[in-house]
Amino acid sequence: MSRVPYRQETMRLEVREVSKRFGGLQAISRLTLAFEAGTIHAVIGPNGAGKSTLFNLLTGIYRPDSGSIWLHDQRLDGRPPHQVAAMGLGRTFQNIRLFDAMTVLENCLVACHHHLRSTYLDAVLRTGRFRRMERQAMQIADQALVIMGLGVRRGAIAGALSYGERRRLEIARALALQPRFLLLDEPAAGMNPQETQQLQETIASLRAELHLGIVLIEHDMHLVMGLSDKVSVLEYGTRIAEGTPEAVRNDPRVIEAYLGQEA
Amino acid sequence: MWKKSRTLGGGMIPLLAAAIAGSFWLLLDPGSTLAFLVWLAAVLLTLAWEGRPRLRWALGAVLLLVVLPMAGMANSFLLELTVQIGIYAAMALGLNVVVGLAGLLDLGYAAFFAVGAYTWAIFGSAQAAAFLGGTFPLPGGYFYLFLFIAVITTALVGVLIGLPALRLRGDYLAIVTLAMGEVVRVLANNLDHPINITNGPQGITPIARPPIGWFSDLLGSVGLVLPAYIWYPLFFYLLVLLLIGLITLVNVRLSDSPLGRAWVAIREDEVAARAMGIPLLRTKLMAFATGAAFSGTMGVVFAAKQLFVSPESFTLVQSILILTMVILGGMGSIRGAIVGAALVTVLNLQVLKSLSEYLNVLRQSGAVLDLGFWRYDLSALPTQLEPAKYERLVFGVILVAMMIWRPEGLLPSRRASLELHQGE
Ligand SMILES: Nc1ncnc2c1ncn2[C@@H]1O[C@H](COP(=O)(O)OP(=O)(O)OP(=O)(O)O)[C@@H](O)[C@H]1O
Ligand SMILES: [Mg+2]
Repeated sequence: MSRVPYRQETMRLEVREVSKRFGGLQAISRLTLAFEAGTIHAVIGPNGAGKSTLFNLLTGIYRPDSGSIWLHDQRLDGRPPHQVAAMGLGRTFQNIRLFDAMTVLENCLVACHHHLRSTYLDAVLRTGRFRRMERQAMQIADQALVIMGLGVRRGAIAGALSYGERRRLEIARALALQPRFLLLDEPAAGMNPQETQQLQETIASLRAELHLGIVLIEHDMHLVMGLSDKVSVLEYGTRIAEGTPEAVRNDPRVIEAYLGQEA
Repeated sequence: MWKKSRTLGGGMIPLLAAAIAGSFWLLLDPGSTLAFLVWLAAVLLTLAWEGRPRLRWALGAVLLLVVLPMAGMANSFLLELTVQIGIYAAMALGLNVVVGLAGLLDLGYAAFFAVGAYTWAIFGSAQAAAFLGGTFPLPGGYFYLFLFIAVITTALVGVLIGLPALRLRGDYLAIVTLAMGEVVRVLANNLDHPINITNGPQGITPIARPPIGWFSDLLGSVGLVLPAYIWYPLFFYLLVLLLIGLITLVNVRLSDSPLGRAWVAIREDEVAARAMGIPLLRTKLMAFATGAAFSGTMGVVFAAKQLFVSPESFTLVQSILILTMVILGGMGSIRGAIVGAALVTVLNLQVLKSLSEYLNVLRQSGAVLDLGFWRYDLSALPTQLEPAKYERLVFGVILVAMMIWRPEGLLPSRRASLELHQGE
């Protein structure tokens, strides 16, 4: 489970021929997709197209029925979620899942520990190594909070945050994992226009400054078109179009998929 | 800020009043249950109080290390009772890790206590000779070693029981741990044949006590010449205080560490915790093993103190009792676990029993309650009215009442109180 070198310009997260079925429902069928480090790649599609299922497959919460998932040259499918997280996939959830009873800072600290090795005995004896690791974790967590504009809220209880703050804390927590790829499941859902605008700027700066690969599921087309380098469109668990935002916007199959849904 | 310091100042006066009143009363009348209750209230208030750490430590030290031992000279039952409270407090601290922090509902917790108790009971009595041959009991000095051996064996048993059980969630976990707890008790009950390991329902006795010559010498060397009958009660009292101190320290440090945060994260949201890099099974096993180890150590102390163990001491009711302590004190709260343990133990061993005795006295006095419009002959009090037998009812009522009025417990953990009262 070794970590891939940090600034790996060519690093890819790949889904190859992956299928996933829930009872009688084929949620994902033979899907092939590739995400690149340093780009923002949007995944869009009508409700129930399989977008969140794709994230759950990528992060090890679901196992694919067939096909494989790769990060660089390492296979991800079949690994438990905590290993996938440690290998560099940080994510948020469509229906926010914070640790409500913990503080904002603690939420992020939880995500720091997979790459800091201090043991049970270190904690009981408060060794020098333990204190060093705690300081380091604190720095990483604080950095993530500052990036997401939550620095002043670090001592608040997560359950007490406003909706927009909760969405941002989820991203901060995923950043505290120090991921290679950041998977955002509808990060702007429920945000007001100013918050969405702010979020757009933050996401753009993450790509530029941290060289993260960002995979973005989003229904807000303005946000998608304004941010993405590449857009993939899913319908019924398959990819029906892919390309630049402009190309996808004018693709007749995409228009049909969306119109068909609204009709 | 101003408001805060005012409330602290306000808390100090009742605290000091209780401490002084309780101490003098207890020293003057060591046999009085009420005096003991006031003293205990002072100890618990000291624990609950937020201000002036130095004063708090000093007060605690005087109450625990001076007042009670002195009163205990006159009435060694006081030492007995506080040791019992201490053993339960240590177990509540252990269960607090499992249920309070990690959110794993364990209804078979008494099993680990049993494993610890039997570990010393078997080797600290002639029992081991029944299936190993050789010369047993081990010399009493091994007691000290077994305190550590029990940490390891019960932690291992915790992992063994946890491995299958922790794959389940919520209610299923509760049911399986309940069953596992019963399995341990039934094993203790039946492992007297074909090989006699536990001596079955008769239990094991006599169990060796640790040699405490060094302890009485130590007391003598600081000028305390005490009668011999008080040595053991005093020794166990101080040992339990020491162990609680250690267990509390470990508890505090773990709960403010990556592992402690991982426990709370799992309790809050398993899926999110896994997605943030927390290995689920391993983290849960650590909670189980930690809780088990605390309980196991106290089992060794229990066996040596009682000189006798039998499966009867490790029933489901015991597990529920400890759970009641944790919930009463406040899930996830370290001070709460201690306070909960003290209140439940005292209620169970002292208050209900005293009430029963008091009712008995009333019954036999033949007095008549005369309110003018209503007369009641006290000798007609039904004999079934016996509070000591209502312990399960009483604890059930406590649990229900807490769930309705104060779900965060008497001394809630910082996290719980912030979460439940964020709007106030
Ligand atoms: N655990 C599950 N069990 C059964 N069916 C599921 C499960 N998870 C998802 N599905 C089904 O799979 C399909 C795809 O769901 P998914 O959540 O991936 O859609 P989505 O593209 O994220 O939609 P939305 O835009 O509404 O979030 C849906 O029909 C959903 O009901
Ligand atoms: Mg979705």
